[in-house]
Amino acid sequence: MPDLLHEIFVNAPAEKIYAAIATQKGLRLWWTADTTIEERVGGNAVFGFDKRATVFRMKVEELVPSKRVVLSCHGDVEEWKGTRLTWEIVPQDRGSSVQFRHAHWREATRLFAICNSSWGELMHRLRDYSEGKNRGPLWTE
Amino acid sequence: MSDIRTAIQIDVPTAKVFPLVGSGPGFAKWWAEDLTVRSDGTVDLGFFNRSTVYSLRLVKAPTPTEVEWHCLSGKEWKGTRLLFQLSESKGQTLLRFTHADWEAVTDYFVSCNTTWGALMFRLKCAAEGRAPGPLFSTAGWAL
Repeated sequence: MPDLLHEIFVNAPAEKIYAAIATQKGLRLWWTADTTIEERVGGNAVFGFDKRATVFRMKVEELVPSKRVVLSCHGDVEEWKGTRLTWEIVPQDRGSSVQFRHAHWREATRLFAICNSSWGELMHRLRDYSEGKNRGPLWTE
Repeated sequence: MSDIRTAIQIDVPTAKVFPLVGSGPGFAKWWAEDLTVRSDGTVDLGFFNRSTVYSLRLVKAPTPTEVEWHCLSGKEWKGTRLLFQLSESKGQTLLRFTHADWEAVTDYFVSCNTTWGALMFRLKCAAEGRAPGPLFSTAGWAL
């Protein structure tokens, strides 16, 4: 099964990057403004795109402060069902490396390639937000 | 051999996307500001005050739907190829991009995958006539 793999260096402390990924306030400022998340393991998360033309429903699987966030996807997009999103924050000499994996895709489809571009852009927005240079979320409604 | 594959929907016809990927100077609008073209057509893209330079040459004459560049420099990039494939439907372009023939899936491969994602969005904005311009300034990352 193909995975999407990304990595970016972020010149910010791990706690700040973790807050960007693990909290509703953070996620709304780099991914999609239409984010709701129960910030606990087992909690539900809903991400809306383009006035909810697309919705991703997820569950919080792991929250390890300053280290790791894992979400599993249960819908509504068929190709995303059963996929798993993992962010790992790895401390460096100054700043942190953020490693991301979107795993368990069934096939490398056109949507897979399109999502690969989006994740690249999102990693940059996550970096810029964490470094205090926020450009806002990629999806604003 | 491993390939980086990305795709993006661009809200203009292919004729507006082609000049951005089919000629060296087009790259300066979304990729790297520091760009020179040699007399033989080789394009040199400079990054981080030219601590890295990627030299590219067209593999063959581009067509309106396919452009292929050969990478001539770079420890991991040398010998790889950049392939841009354009298709149009209802006035919109689907751009499929492949950075082909990497020797292995290294850390640099993964970080380049991320960079290509951001670059696809810069290319989309440039084609649609919007800011913010190239991802790399002469000295580093552009904002």
